[in-house]
Amino acid sequence: MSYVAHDESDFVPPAEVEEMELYHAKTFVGKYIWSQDAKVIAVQYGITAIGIGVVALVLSWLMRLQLGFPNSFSFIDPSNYLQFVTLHGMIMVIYLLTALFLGGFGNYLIPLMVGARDMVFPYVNMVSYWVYLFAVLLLVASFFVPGGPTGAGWTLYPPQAILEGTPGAHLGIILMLVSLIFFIIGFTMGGLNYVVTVLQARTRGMTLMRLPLTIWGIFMATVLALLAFPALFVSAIMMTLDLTLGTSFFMPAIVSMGQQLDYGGGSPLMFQHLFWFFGHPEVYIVALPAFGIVSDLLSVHARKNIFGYRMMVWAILAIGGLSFVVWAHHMYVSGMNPYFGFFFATTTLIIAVPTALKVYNWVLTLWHGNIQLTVPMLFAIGFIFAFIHGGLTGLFLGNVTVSVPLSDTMFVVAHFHMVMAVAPIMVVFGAIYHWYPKITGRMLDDTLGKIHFWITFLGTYAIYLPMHYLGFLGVPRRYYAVGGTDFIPESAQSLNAGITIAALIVGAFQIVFLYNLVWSYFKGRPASDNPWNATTLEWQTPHTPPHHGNFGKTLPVVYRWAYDYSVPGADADFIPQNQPPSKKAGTAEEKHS
Amino acid sequence: MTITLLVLVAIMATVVWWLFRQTINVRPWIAQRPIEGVHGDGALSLPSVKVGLGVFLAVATSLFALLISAYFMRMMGTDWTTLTVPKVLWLNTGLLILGSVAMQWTLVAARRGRVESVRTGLIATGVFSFAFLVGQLWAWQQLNAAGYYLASNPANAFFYLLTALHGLHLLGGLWVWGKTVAKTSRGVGIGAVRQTVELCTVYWHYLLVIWLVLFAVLLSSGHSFRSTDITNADFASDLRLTDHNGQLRSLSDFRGKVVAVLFGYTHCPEVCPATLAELAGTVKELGRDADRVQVLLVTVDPERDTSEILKQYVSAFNPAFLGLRGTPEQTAQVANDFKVIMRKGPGADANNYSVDHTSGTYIFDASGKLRRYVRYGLGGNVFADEIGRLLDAG
Repeated sequence: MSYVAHDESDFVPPAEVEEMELYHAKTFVGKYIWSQDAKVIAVQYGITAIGIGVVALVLSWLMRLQLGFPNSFSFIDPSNYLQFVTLHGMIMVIYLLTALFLGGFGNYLIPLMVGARDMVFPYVNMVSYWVYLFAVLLLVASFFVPGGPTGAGWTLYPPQAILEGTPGAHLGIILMLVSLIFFIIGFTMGGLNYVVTVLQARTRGMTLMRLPLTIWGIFMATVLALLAFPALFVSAIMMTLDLTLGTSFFMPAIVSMGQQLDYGGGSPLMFQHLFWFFGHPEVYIVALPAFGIVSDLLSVHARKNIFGYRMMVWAILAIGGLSFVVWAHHMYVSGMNPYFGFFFATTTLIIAVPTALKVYNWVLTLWHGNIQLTVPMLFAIGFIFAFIHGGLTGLFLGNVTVSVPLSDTMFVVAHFHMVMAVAPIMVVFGAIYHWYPKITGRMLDDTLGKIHFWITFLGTYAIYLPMHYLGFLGVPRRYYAVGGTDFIPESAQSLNAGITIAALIVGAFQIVFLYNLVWSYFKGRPASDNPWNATTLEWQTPHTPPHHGNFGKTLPVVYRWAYDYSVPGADADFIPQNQPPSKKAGTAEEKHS
Repeated sequence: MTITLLVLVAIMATVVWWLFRQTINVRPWIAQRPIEGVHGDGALSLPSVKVGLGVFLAVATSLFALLISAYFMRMMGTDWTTLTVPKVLWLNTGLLILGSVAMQWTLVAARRGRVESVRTGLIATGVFSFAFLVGQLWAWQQLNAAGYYLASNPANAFFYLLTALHGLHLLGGLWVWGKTVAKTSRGVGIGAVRQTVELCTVYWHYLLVIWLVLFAVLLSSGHSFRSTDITNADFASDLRLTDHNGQLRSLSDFRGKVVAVLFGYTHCPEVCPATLAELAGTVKELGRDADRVQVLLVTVDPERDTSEILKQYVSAFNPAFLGLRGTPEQTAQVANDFKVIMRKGPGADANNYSVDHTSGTYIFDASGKLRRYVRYGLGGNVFADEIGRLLDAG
């Protein structure tokens, strides 16, 4: 225990950060459509991302219908199936998760949590959303062009992606690539805002080490995205040129449909390197915001400071750095020098260290906490389960010798869905239940929330646990139908049918969530300014929902870190970040050291 | 990818260095009072737009580093033929340097508060930059006229792609430049344009550096794949074997022709047909000069390769190609002379085996002198280059 004394001279006069000039919209259109307010842009991002996410959910249903009950549905042929797989993956990873975490939560939470009036470049921020929307519309348009969307798999590997015979080999793939190019341009505009706002617009007293972990996660993820997306950008441009102008960046000499094509010498492996140079950091672009947000949810709802704050920050930085040197573990079966395989297996296993450290810290935050089983807390705990399971199977797949036989089986599908789909989605839900009161001024319904949680949590386990087993049996992924084989027992089909039923139920019950969102917006219980008794700045705004400019007349001044929960001797079980140190010696100011 | 990784390491190192300066190791739960310092919150003392530009330049650096990585990776392909960089690029480089200098001069004028000079400087920058872009288009035009089409070779494709992306970045800068010029001509004070001028200066210098790197990359990439010059080698002076028509042949029979000699066999799964196909392609391209080239395949498997089979096989590539065959002893002797290794591999039975053998090709000039050794896998271009050069010389 240590005691820190304070006197008046330590206090900082408020609002010494330069006031930024805000654009004041007067019309409805200016406020809610062409809005430059990060909070509105966040909601726009959120609604668009969830909307396109629902499309991807339906696509996964169609896929599962075919896998569970092969050949029972006349509207699913092999081409359709591949298109569903491709678009489901692409939408979920990029257009839903990346956009929602960074464009949605990033926009809403960064200015509020660091104590800024808005993003530093509001106009660019607005354009970012509209470019993103355009990218989404291009993607949706590919469903309606002749040949349909591309069916090349979400990795879009050439040469197959742009060859005759792959579904959507003409317009579908072009729309996909152009949509990605626009997504990246839009993201870069937003990303500049997120990074510079965190660096420059923190309010007085908000040092880096007082930032909530949510901001650390989003910040590092944005840095990763800014540096990694150019790889996808470059490969999308090159592939577009290969496709439209006949260059041979990626296309080797190839005979397609009995015709010698004009390509020659290109390197499909080069595409894989570029793609995964983006693709692996992408995993952490989705995971780091989830890590950050879940840390805050656990701390708030367990009424306890986050265990090992500094370690958490360092782990985020370490994961960010390491995520750039593991990409080739996606390419073990593409053929590579065994020494490279060894190198990438090693770095892959090393990245498990900071990740495991975070998991321990989450569990230790819960330990002896005053756990409130609110809906956000349930989802946060659900995340820990899903992430541990997905992480453990990652250790299998990180090793070359184990990965090679498991590669291209359902085991991989189960692994990355646990770690990259279920885990982040748990956090997305938890975060929405947590921040919805601030965004709308009303609470989400608790009972519906709990139903939603249990169905989603148990349901996703019902989907993905058996899928690991299918992978061990050798059931391949991406196959329209497996047919009769010697090594796959008949019972695998029953398991597949069961998985499909679970997927249909989980998917259908998301209606409960959407209904809750809409119903509560009009009829929900009005929320107070700080319903969860949280310490961070977004809960200390004078209005709920916060007005344009966030903090009323004066910006808050920060005196402490974000995790002063259950401080011994304090009046309440939380001390907001902007509460000045009290002079009552020995009470609120006593700290664990 | 090494280049990209190095760039990323540099960026990351900067980030980490900065984070440590930001006291990333304080214990936030103890340190309670606001940290003293410039802002009290640890923000950089630069204006946000400058930080924003810095972050954008990091993104652009990542983009160009990845492109250069891809460039070098693709260059390893066998079909890469470096294009002759148009001379006008030197002029363009000069223009871009002048643009950068003019921008710097503008900056100095802005700092001293001389509005008129700022305007002159900006206009000079614009003129040089637009001239650069026009020059780049002109270079494209020249290349196109010389037959270096976008799709005909990866080197060309990369040239167009790199210059286009660089040009687009410059165009983006010129858009901001245009707004600034418009401001100055409306007669606003120096304060209103000073920051923009500072940002433009950084951006112009950055684009100049990127261009210099790209230009260096485009220039440096000479032939990375060459044959080995073995002009003064003292082996492989001659051979005496029977051709597939039963005629005894030695190298002196082909005086006046460029001769390519390779070792192989008709059951050869990969190396021999690939090399023969490349040679056949090269000879076909030569047109009328085809008569001045002779390709000889020495069989390393005389047991299975009868004259008849050899003739059928070799003629399939080009009727003028000749297969040479000797007794096993003669073959071993020739192989020894040519420092060629051949070893019968394992096989299922007496008639089903492979023969490991040295896979390169020897090229003799018209006077019968050994000149080049071409490793397997360098691609048809190397044959075309080397044979063409020897034909020109003789």
